[in-house]
Amino acid sequence: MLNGHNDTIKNKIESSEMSYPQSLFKNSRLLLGTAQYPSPKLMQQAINTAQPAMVTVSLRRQGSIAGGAEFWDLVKQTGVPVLPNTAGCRTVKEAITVAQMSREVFATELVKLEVTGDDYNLQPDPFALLEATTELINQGFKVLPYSTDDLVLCQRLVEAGCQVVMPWGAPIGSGKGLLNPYALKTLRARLPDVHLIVDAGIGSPSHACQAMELGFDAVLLNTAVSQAADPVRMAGAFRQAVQAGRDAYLAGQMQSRETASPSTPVLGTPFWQQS
Amino acid sequence: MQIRFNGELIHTEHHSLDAFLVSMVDTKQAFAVSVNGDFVAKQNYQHTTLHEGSQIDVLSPMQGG
Repeated sequence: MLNGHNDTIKNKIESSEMSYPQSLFKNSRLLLGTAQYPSPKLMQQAINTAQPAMVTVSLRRQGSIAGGAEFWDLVKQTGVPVLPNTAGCRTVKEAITVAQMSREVFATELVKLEVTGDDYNLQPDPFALLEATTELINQGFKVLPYSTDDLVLCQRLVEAGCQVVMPWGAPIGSGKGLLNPYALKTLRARLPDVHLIVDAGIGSPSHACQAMELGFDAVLLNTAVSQAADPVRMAGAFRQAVQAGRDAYLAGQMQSRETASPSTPVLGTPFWQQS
Repeated sequence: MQIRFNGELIHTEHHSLDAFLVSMVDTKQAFAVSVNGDFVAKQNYQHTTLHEGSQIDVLSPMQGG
């Protein structure tokens, strides 16, 4: 069995400081993407319903997609802090440049650092990710790297100065949930003082709840809400699931057993006689 | 001279980035600029010179996951 679970709970409960990164989660442990909604208005309604800690945004060439100005106005109206991403970047230089541009436009030191290494499953390039992370932290950024669930990579990201690491649950947009719970449990146990966010691959509220039950500090998702038949209702479902999972983690789950164990007292069972 | 603006080859007479942006960009929108792949902060627009073949990207807020 992996160690560190109880220590992690204790640390989180006793922590009363609200400096970064605890301050990110003071109101919510759900981070929500802003892409692929049926309409900008539905996106705004989903954000208002989910009440996320942050919403992710991007930078794209001006005029390349219609409605950019309207989109940004609607996001600002929600009052939810933004987390700019570097989606689409494939090199260290691209990621650093987009992060610098995001800092100026969005007036935040936070960056969801993405450096894609494979176009098929949008898997992060671990080597470029670590290099870009190191440079951006040197430039004063607070880097939230989107990584795989590889323990050594996540350890290196922490050593580089990340206080938050965001391992994937499954490839972006796949909705497959937590493909490797063992790896995620290992990360939680081995990095008890790091804020861990499951980012990507979550397809249903039960996936989000499962991540939170494992002790993750938050979940980041987009498509599961934006591509739901009713995004606003799904946003509310995720809000509740994340809170339920967090409460369950803090409450401490029972140990599972291999055999049945009666919950109703055996003593006094009617019609039973000692033979 | 020929430059590449947001991926497209265009002709411009402006050699100052500042003047070029005023003529080409929707300045009502939030935006940030890179030249030849390097970020250029707003305070440096007027000191940045464009050359034949310069690549300018102007990015604005957009949906993201």
